[in-house]
Amino acid sequence: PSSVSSPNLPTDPGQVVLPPPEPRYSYLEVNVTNFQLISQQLVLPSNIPFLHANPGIKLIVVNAIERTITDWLQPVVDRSIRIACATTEQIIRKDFALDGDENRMRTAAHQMVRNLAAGMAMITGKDEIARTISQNLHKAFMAALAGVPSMSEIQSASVQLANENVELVCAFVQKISAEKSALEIDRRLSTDFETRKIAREEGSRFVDANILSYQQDRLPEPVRLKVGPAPATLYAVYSEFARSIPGFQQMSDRDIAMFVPKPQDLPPPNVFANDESSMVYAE
Amino acid sequence: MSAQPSPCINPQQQQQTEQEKVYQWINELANPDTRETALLELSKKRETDLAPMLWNSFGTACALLQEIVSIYPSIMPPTLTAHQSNRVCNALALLQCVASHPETRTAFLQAQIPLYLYPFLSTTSKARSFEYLRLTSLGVIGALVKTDEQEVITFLLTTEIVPLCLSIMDSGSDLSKTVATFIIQKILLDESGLSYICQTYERFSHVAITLGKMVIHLAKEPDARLLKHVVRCYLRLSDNTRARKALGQCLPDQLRDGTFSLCLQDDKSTKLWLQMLIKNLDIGATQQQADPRQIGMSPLGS
Repeated sequence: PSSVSSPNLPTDPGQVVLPPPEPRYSYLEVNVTNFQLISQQLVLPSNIPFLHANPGIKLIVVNAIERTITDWLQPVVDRSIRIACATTEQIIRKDFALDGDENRMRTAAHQMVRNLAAGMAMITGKDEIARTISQNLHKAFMAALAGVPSMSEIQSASVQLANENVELVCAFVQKISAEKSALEIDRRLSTDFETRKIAREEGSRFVDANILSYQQDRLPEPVRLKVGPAPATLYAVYSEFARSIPGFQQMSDRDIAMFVPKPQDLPPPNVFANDESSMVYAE
Repeated sequence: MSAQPSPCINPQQQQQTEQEKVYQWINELANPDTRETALLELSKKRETDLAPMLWNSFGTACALLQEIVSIYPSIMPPTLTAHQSNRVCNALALLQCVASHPETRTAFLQAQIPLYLYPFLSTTSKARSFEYLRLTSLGVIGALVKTDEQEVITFLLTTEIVPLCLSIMDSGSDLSKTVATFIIQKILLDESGLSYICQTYERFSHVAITLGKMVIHLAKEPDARLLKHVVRCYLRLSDNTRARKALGQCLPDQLRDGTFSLCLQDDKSTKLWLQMLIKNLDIGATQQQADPRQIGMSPLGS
């Protein structure tokens, strides 16, 4: 039963499929230093009259959304980092096994892990975050505005506000996941970076001998890894990770350049890398 | 020794150019501009020994992951088009090669790739684009468990695949139900899988209730292939002492009263499994007539 053949769906002209809405936020703009800055970007739709009745109501909305972030941030971020880093670690080591330039390896690792962590955070958190915002708002409105707007007004306002703001909250959680993942992948790959640096300082060039011999044994020449940098047509896959982070607007080359890690920011090598105990202490 | 070389193009040459095309497509996967055609062509070639090349060439694993993650925004809200669905399913077909190949399976698991497919399994849209996406994703997990490797079960049990499969068994298409039940069957057949599912009453009852609903559905719309997997799951559950006692109380009557004799008439092995199941349960019942509640597992249904 597992040998399901790859389907070939005809495009059904009767099926009306709207494309997903264009992302509202750019990765660069979302400020993750604190939530206060995000709260200024919250959307308060003008078709909900009671929202604009007095200034205290905006505060209720901000608090309810802040509480949602407090509830979901940790579990979503933790899961995203865990999965995205495990994936990136495996694949980067394999792809850059014959490349002695630790900066190229590190740039690619950051580009990949940001993309995967942001995607994982979105798919893990978005529905739950929308639901929780709506619930928290509902509770807060019921407590603060009892009897003023009707139950159904409160209900529909909570849902609408959740729908309008979930993308912003999600972008905040996604970017935190992505940025923390970049730090974590530096830690996990620190020995790999260091080995390359040492090799260069000793006047040789780093090559992973096991992978080199596997590649020579098992891979036909045209698809084999070559010693040194990968050709631009292949490296394009990593630039694509940087350009299209799920849930955010496409990044320009100039924006991408701002996220290229600087060699001097490299953390000191972790002497316990790949050791279980270092994982425990890092928690 | 007698065959004359063909006057136009000999088979060896032809094979070579085919091979060269495969290499070219693999290299074209990494580049987003050339990827779509390469995905389509390679997904037709997956019976060849593609997996080690796919996994170990530069950027290819990244390209396949990119295809998956890039449709996440089309999952929530569900807006996936037929074109997007075909494209990502071609990428999944290639990942299925990687999942089933002994040389790449371990790396595939260590890189946590199955977890990127789980969001597809929890979609609920009935649109065909989503049905195919779920079915193809299940196919990748199915290919993994088909290998009967301990590491696969160990990996799956640390993830949420069991509840995902159970919800597809509840409400998926017939084909998806079959693959999902096959995955549960393979997990149960493993010693650690059986004890994982029978470890708490909640887990056991979730599985038993889902299987029970499938039996009732199958009684109305018989499907020999699905029934086979369902019966095998029940039989395997009956190997666990506590589950056997609970099943004695909650096995659907349809499995005892001959409802499926017509459906099973050409399937000797399933008929035999069903007999063994009934026998196991009856022996269990006569050995100890204790209230299942007192042995830590209460009967279902009430």
